[in-house]
Amino acid sequence: MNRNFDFHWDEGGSSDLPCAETYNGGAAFSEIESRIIRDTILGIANQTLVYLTVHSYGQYWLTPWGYTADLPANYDQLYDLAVRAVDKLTAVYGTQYTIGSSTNVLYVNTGPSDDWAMGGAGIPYAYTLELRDTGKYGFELPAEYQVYQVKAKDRVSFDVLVKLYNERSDVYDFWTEPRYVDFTTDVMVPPAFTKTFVDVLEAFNMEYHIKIDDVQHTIIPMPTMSKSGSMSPLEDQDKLLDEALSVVKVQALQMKRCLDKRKLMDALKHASTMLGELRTSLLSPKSYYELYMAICDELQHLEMYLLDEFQNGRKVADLYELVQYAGNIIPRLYLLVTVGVVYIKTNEQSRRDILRDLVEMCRGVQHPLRGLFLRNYLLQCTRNLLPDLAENDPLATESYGNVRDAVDFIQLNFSEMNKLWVRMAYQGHSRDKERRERERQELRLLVGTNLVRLAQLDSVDVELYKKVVLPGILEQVVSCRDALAQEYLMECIIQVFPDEVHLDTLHTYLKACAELHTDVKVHVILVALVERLAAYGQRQQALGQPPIPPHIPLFDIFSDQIGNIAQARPEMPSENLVSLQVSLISLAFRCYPEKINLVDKVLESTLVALDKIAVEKVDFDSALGKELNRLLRMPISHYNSLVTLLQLPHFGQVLQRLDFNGRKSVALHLVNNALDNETYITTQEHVDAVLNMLAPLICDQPDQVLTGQDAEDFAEEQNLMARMIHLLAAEDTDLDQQYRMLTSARKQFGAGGARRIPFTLPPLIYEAFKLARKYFDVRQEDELWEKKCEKIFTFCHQCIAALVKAELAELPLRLFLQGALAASQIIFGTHETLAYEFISQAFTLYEEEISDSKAQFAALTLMAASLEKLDCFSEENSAPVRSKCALLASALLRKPDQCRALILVSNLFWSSTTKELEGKPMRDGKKVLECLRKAGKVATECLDPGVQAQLIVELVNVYVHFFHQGNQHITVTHINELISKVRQDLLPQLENSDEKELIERHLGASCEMLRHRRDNPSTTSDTPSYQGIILD
Amino acid sequence: MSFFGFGQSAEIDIILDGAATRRTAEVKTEDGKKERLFLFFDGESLSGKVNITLKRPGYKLEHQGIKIEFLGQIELYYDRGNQHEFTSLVKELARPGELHHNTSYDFDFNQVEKPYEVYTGTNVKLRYFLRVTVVRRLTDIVKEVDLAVHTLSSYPEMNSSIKMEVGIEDSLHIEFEYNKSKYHLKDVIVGKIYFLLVRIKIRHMEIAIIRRETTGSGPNVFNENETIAKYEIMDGSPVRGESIPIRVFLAGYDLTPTMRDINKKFSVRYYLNLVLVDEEERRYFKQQEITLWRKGDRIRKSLQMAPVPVTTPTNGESDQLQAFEKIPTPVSEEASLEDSPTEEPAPNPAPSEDIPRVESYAEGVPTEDA
Repeated sequence: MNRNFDFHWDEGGSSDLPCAETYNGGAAFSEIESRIIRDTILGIANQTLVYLTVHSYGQYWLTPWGYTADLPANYDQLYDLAVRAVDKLTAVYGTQYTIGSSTNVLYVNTGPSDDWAMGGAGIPYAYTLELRDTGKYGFELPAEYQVYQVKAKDRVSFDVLVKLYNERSDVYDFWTEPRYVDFTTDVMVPPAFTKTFVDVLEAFNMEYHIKIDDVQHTIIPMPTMSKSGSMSPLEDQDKLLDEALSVVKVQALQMKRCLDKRKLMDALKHASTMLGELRTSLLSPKSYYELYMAICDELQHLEMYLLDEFQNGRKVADLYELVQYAGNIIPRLYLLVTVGVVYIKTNEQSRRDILRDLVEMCRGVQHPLRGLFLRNYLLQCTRNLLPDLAENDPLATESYGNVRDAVDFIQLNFSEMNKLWVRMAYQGHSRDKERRERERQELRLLVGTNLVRLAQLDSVDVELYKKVVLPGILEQVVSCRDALAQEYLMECIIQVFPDEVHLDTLHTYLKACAELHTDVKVHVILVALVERLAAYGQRQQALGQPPIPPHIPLFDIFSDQIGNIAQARPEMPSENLVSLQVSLISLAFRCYPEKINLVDKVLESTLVALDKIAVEKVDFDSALGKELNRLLRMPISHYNSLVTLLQLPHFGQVLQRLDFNGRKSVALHLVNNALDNETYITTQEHVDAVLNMLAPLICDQPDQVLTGQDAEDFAEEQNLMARMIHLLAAEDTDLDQQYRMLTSARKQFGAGGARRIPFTLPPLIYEAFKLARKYFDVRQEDELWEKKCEKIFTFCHQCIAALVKAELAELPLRLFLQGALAASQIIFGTHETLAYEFISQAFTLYEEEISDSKAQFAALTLMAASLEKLDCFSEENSAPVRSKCALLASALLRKPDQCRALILVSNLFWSSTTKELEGKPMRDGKKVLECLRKAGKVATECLDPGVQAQLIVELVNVYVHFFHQGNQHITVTHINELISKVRQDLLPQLENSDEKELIERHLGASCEMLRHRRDNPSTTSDTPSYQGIILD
Repeated sequence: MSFFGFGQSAEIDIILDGAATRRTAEVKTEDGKKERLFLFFDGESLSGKVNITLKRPGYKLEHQGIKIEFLGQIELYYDRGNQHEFTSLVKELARPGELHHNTSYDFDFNQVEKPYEVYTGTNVKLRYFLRVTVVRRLTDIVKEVDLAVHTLSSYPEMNSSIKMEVGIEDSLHIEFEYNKSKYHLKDVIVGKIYFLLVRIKIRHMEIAIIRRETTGSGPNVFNENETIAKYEIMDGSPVRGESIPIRVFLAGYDLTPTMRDINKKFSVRYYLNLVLVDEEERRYFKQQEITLWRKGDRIRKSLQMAPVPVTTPTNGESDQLQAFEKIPTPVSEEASLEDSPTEEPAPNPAPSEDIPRVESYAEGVPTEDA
C-alpha cells in the first residue's frame, strides 16, 4: 500500500512481485484503499497542516522524500517540528526516535503516502512514524497501554495517588481526578511504567484491577472523527437543505427575471431546474417539507404570471403539452399541475378532464415522500377549483363536472396518498422503524388534508356521503391494513365530517371499525366518536331539540357494534372493551338522560364481556380494574344518588367483579357521594341493597387484604359509614319503615365484627333513640306506640349488648346510660323498668369490665350525672342505685378520686328526683352531709399536703354550695373548720410553688365570695346567713 | 468558378416555380446543423428556371452542353466514393455551343417519383438534389440545390396496441401497453405499466426512444443505436397492483419516419425501450419496435388529454411471457444483445381509443396550408 501512491511511482525501492512486502500494485492508485485515502485527503487537503502516517516499526520519525536523497524545501521546519515531537515521546516513554528523510535514514522507496501527501496533495508537514519496536516483535506488537482502576483505601495511599496525579500526570493519564479515600480512579498507564505503577500500588496496599487490557484495541474500532469534521446526520440535513434552498433561490430569481422579459421557455427551464431539487432522496421529511414550501412559494409566481398571460390570449393547451417534455417526472408533474391549474382557471370547461388527468398522471411518482408532497401540491392547488356543484345543477355540464367528479378526484388522490404513506413503513431498515413511525406521524396531515377537502365540498349531501364518500374512504382505510394509518384516519373521519352525517352512517362506520388491524386501538376511535355524538346530542338538547333524531337508535347501534367488535377481535384487551362501555354510558347520560335502563344495559353487557374472558375477580391496580372503576364511578357521579343506582340491577353485579380494594374504593366513592349529596335512603329494601354494595366497608370480605391497612384510614372509613347511617331516614310519617330500616342496618353492621361496630352501632342506637322520641311525639296517632317504643329499646339494648360482647366497656356504658336517659324521658308503660335495666346494665358493666382507676372515675362521674337526670325511678328503684353509687365512689382506688366521686355522689342526694317526688329535688341534707364528711375524711387521709389542700378547698366550695342551697345540716362551723385547716395546717407545710399559689388563689377566691355574701346579706329570707364565717 | 482568372465563367441559379409560397423543411446536415430546404413530396412535379449569369459580360462562354438532373442519392459514409443513385432524371437544357449573354432555361420534371424521405444519419445520408451542369472542356460549372422530401403515409390500416406481459421469474412481472404500434411524428404515446409482481426495489423507470440505423448488407452490417429521448415515467418503487401512466409527446423530438430497407442500403427503425433501474443500479429493459410515419398536417392533431382508460390485463393467454434482459452491471442497455422478436398481440378488435380516421386524406397529395 505504501508504494502505491502516485508520486514518482515505481522509481525504485518497490517491487513488481505481488508477494513482496514492497509490492507497488502494478499501477499508481491501483488499490481501492489508496484511492480512498487519496480522495479523503484531497477533500481536506487545503485545510490540513500535518499529515501523519503511522507505521511499524523501527523508532523513526521520517520526513519526505523517499524517492530521492534530496531534502524537501521546508526540511528545516519539518525537522524542527519532528525534534519537538520526539523530545516529548522520549520524556514519556524513554524512546529514542531517529529523525530524518526516509531515503537518508532508511532507503529509497517510491510511491509512499507521505511523499504523495506532500508532493501530490500539497500538505506542508508530512511524516512517517515508524513505531517504537526495533525488531523484537516486528510489525505486530503486544498489548500496550493499560487502564487500571485504582481505589485508595486509606489516607496515606490516597495522598500517594494525589501526588502521582499532581506530579506525574505526564506519565499517568488520570481519567478521573482522585477526590477522596475510597474513590475509584481510572488511570491509563504506558507500558514502560506498568511495573513501577503496580509496585507503587502494591506497596501502599491499594485496591486495583486492570480495566482495559489494551487501550489500542478499544480505541481502534471506535469511529474516529476526521479532521474535516464528519457531520452528524442532523447537521448534514441542515447543510443539504441549505444547499437545496440556495439553488431554489437562484433558479427562482432567474425564473422571475425571464418572466419579466417574457421569455417563458427559459423561465420554465429554470422552474424545472428548481423543481429538480425536489428529486432528492437525502432529506428528512421535515427538511423536505421546508424545501417544498419554499418551492411552492416560487411556483405561485409562475402561476400568477401564466394566468395573466393566458387571460391575454395565449394558448394554454400548447403549454400543457410543452411542460410534459420535461424529462424528469418530478419537475414535469409539478409544472403540469401548475399549468393545469391555470388551464382550468382560464377555461372552465376543461375542468373535469384536466383534474382527472392530473390525478392520474401523479401515479408516476411512487416514491412515498416525493409522491406525498406532489399530491399534496395537487390538492393545495386545486382546492378552489373542484367542481362543487350538485349533479342536477344546470352549470354542471359534462365537461365542467359535478360533485361526483370532485369526490372521485379527492378519493383517488386520497387512496394513492394513503398507499404511499403506508408504504413508508416498509422502507428501509427495520432498526429505523421507530424513526420512520415518527416521520410518518409528521406526515399524516398531508393524507388527512384529503378528508378535509372532502368535508369542505358543499354539495356533498348526506345521501352522497353515505353512498359514495364514506364507503370509498373506509374501503381504503380498511384495506391498507396499517394500524397507524387506520387509527389516524378513522379519527380524522370523525373529526372532519359533520355530526349529522355520522349519525346516518354509523352502521357503516362501525362495521369498518370491526375490520381494522388488530393493533389499532379501536376503543380510542370509538370513544372519540361517542364523545363527539354525545356532545352533539347535548348541544341539540340545549337548542331545545331532541338530542338524537328519534329514528336513529344511536345507543342500540353502538351497543350492538361494540359487541360485534369485541367478538371480531377476541385479542382486544379487556380494559379497552370496558373503556368502550364507559363511553357508552357517557353517551347514554348525555343523549338519553331519561333512560336509566340503558345504563343498566351497558353494565349488563360489561358483565357478559367479563364472563367471556372468564375473569372472576379483577385486580384493582390492573388496567382492567381501573377501567371498571371508571365505569362504575360514572353513574355514581352522574346520578349523584345512591338510590337511583339501585335501579341498576347490574351495578352491584359488576361491582362484585372487582377485587376487595376495587370494591372498597368504589364503596368509599359511593359513601362520599351520598354524604355530599345528602341522599336519604327511605326504604328497608334500599337499605339492604345499599349496604350490600358497601359491604367491603361494613364487614369482612373473603378476599380481604388487611395487611398494610392504616388504622387511621380505617377509622376514617368507618366514620364515613357512621355518617352514612344518618342518611337512613324514612319519610317523616313512616316511622315503622324507619324501624325496619334500622333493624336491617343493624343486621348488616352487626356482621362487621368487633373492629367496626364501635363506629357503626352507636349512631344506629342514637337513630333508634331518636325514633323512639318521634313515636312519643305522635303518640296520639299511633295506638301501638308504647309497644313499639319498647321494641326499640329492646333493639337498642341488643345493640349495646353486642358492643359489650365485643369486649368494649366505656362505650356501651355510655350508651346504657344514654338509653336509660332516653327511656326515662319517654313515658310509656314499662319505661321505668327499661331505664332501670339500662342503668343496672351500666353498673354491671362498671363492676365487671372497668378496672382502670381513671376510667372508673370517669365512668362513675357519668353514671352519677345520668342518675341525677333520671326522673322516672320510684324510690324503690332509686335508693339502691344511689347508695350503690356512694358505695362505688368510696370503693375507688385513689383517695382524691374517692373524695371527688363522693362529692359528686352527694349531689345525687340533693338534686336527683324520683317518681314519688314528681320531679322535685330530693333535698336529703343529712345524707349529703354524710357524704361530704366522708369526702372530708378521705381528703385528710391524703398524705400529700398539696393534694389534701386542694381537695379541701374544693370541699369548701361544695359545702358553701350546699349551704347556699339551704341545706340545714350544714353550718358555718363546717366551713370555718375546713378553711382554717387549710390555712393553719396545710398551707404552711407547702413549699412556695406554683401549686401553692394556685391553691391560695383558689381559696382566696372562695373566701372573697364568702366575704361578699357575709357583708351583703340577702334580703330574701330563704338564703342562709353567712354571719360567723371566719375568713382571716 | 473562374479558372486561373482566365476565360469566361458563369453563375448558375436554380429558381423553382412557386418558391415564394413553397413550404420549407429543416434538414440536418452532416455536421449536425440544420438548414431549410424547399419541401417536396412524392409524385410532385418540379419545374422552374435555370439562370446562367455570365461573370464577364461581353465574353462568350463555350460549353459542351447544359443539363439539369434530378437525383436521389444514398451515400454511405464508410464508402464515400460510391454514391448510390436510386433516382436520376436528366433534362438537356442546351446543346453544345456558346453563350454570349445571360441566359435562362425553363425546366420541368413532371410528377417525379420520390420514393424515400431525406435522411441524414450517423452512417448514411439520403438526399435529393437538382444539379445543373454546364459541361466544359476542362472544368464543368456545376450547381446543386438540395431539396427536402417528405414521404407521407395514410393512417395505417391496422394499428393495434402493443400489449405484453414480461418479467423475470419471481422478481418482476409487469404488463405494459402502448396504445398503438404505429405513431405519426406528432403523435402521443399513451400507455400504462401494470405491475403484477415486484420483488426488487425499483428506483425509477424511464422510456427511451431509440433510433437504430442499419446500414450495409450481408456480413458488413452496421448498427447504430441512438437514444433520441429519455423520459422518466416513474419515480420510486411501486408495489404490486400499481398502474403507471405513460404519455410521451413525440412532436418535440427529432424523429423521422421508420424506414425499412431503403433501396437495400439502409434501414432506420425506432424502438421504445422501457427501462427499470433498481436501487443497485441494475437495469431491466424491454425494447419494442414502433413504426413512425409522417402524416400530412392539414388536420391539426387535437390534444389528447385523457389517458387511455386503465384496463386490467385480461387476455393473458394470447400474451407471451417474455423475460427482461437483465444486465447485472450498469452497462448501457444498448450494448446487450436482444433476441426478442417483436411480439405483437392479436389486433385489438375495437380500437376505440384511437384517433378518428382522417377520411379526406388523399395519399401522396401534399397539403399546402401552413
